[in-house]
Amino acid sequence: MELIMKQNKSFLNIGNLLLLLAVLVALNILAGRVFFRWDVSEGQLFTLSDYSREVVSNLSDPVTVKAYFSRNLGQYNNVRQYVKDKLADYRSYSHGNFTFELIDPGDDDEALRQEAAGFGVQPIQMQTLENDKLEVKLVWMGLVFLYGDKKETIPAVQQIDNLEYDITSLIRRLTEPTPTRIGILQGHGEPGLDDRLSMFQEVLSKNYYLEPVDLTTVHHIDTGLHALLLISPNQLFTAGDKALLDEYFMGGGRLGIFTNSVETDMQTQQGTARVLGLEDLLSAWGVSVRNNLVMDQQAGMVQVRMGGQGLMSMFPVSMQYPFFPRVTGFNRELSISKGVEAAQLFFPSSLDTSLASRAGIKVEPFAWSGANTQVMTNRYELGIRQQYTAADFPDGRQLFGAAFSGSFPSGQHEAALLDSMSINLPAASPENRLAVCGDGYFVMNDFLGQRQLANLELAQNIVDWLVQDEGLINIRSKVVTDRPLTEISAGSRNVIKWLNILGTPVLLVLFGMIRWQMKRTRRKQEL
Amino acid sequence: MQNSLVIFRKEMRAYFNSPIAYIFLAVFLVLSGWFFFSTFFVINQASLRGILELIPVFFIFFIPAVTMRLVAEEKHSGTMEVLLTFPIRNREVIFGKFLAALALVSIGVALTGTYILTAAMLGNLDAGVTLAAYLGMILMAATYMALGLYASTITSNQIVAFILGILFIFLFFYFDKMLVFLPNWLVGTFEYLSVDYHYRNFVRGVFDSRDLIYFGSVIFLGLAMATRKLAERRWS
Repeated sequence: MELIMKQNKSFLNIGNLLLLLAVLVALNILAGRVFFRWDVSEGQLFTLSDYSREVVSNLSDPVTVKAYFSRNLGQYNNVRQYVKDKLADYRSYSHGNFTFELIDPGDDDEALRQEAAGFGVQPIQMQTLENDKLEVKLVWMGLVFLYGDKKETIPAVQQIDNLEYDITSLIRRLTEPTPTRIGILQGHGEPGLDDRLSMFQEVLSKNYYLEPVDLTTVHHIDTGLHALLLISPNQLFTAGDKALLDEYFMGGGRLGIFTNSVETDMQTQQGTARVLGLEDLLSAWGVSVRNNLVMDQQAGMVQVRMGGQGLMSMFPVSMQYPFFPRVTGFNRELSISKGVEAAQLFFPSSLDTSLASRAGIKVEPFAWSGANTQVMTNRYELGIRQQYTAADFPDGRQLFGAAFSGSFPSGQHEAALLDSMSINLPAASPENRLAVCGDGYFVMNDFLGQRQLANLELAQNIVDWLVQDEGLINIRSKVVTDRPLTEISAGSRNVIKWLNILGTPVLLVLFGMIRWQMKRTRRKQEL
Repeated sequence: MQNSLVIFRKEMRAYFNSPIAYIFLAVFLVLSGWFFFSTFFVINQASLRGILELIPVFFIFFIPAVTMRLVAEEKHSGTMEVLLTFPIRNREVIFGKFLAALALVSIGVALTGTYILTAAMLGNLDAGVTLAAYLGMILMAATYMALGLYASTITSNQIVAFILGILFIFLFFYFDKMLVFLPNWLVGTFEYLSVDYHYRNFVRGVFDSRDLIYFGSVIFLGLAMATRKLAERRWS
């Protein structure tokens, strides 16, 4: 007993406690220098992907990164550490060709601030409390990538989820000898790049150079374009336009076609068939965007004023709108739809791919509607305030997106027209790629709005697939932005909710009461 | 270790032979469930982010409620003196009590597993992230437990132990929330000291040796200080 007390007394006196503290502090400092990480997230979100390793290990000349990061970033402080770790990861695979330095422009180092501004890194305002006053402080959190005389900048890193994608894209852009060019077709009522496609342009321009292509002003489509996108045209294509498209496609240029068959007017809540005149050309290539409008029971929400009188009519109500299908039926095996859990389409039309199969073209459908739809073919009533029931969706699953690859036959054109345009069409294209989606609105600003949708990821995947840049898809698909729940009835939701809130506690209390009762009985028996 | 297990069993019996454990667990689960499921279907995502952000805040209050009685009550009722007459080391007493309190909170956390099942059945839940986050949650609970246990050794008044426990835990929770008010040279240290800062890595699905070392260090230091305090009482 005395011995034990002695041990107790000698262990952890104040001197030993301080020594212990010092050892723990030293251990933590050491751990900061020598550490390991094990990433168990799906898709290894925080581990450098194989593609990023490949890009950085193939660098032939040095890339230098200047990371302008303030030391004190308040709520963004974890970003600083994350960026530092991520850059260190890149460095470790670069065979010495990737270096970085962390620079704090500080409060009073004007030269460094000027330098950061010169590279396009602008400070961000952050509110702080100093001397009992709320003050606005400037902080820096930008990255500058230097390669020879070229530079690329990320002005502010506020989100870390996409950082690897951004960094790898920038390294590629800096180091690729010829830029990858994507044409956006104009001249047939398509949305403008700087206008309704600006969000789409912003995400795509991380990797590609986007340029408008107006068929009315060119004699031939530039074969240097790696891909051409037709996004929601709504005016007739002339025979000459179609010949130019066919010439480009038969020459090996990749095509992405995002188009609806029905023009919609929300004022009259009616739709009318679009006349594009592309049907024969698309049929020759093995695909048809059907003349229909698909309503899907699995749909996104819209804000609607219900009309009528009274207070309730003043406030918008959220309701499902079947003309905005929420697409979750993706082929997850294909790179084109990899990592996309859900996207939303707007007034889509379905696709028919039967012709392609007959022509020996490889078809890979990648996006479908839900199981319950209504396919409208003649009258297009867009009733936005209508209450829909299960009986309104008698039709089955519809195809919205498909990828085609192989050698495509050319379309039929008048010989005189081809001669006059100096176009020599081969009977079939070399190995080529075509992606078709029965909706062009899904990448437009006015439809995307503030919605947190994976539409742009899907569009990026399609473009990456077209230009065979599937390494980028692998990085982007690591970030799953949307993990929607399976649709269940309101009643089932309530049951699940209350079972989870009260089920376990009630069982627990019951268990306690039974245990208490059994104990009491046992005690009585003992007495 | 054998003696710690004896203490552990004694504490567990004390919890489950009285209404303490049932009340604690039921209140914890009803509150967690209520807050989580009030938004789960609205957000419509197979994600446990809500509960992962919520439980650390609950811990600030629930853990001192568990730890406040561990030593303070025994001291107040005089049973600690009886306990300390047995041939058992202070650190064994502290460790046994720590394990029991941690087991109780871990049972509470494990019972939120029904939320995991629900999210996994209704959507594509990230299993790796969930596993890491739950481990991070247990490590966070253990850290708070060590701090709360230390608070309980300082006083014989349970209310004071509860308030001190909240204070210590809140301090470690809040370290990285006050960085904007600090001079630059202190930012790194305060950030590193924050439990929440290290917990966030687990929530992302990343096991980082730096976080494991941090949690281990604070737990060890908290238990050592509690042991030291108990020794002082023993000899005072």
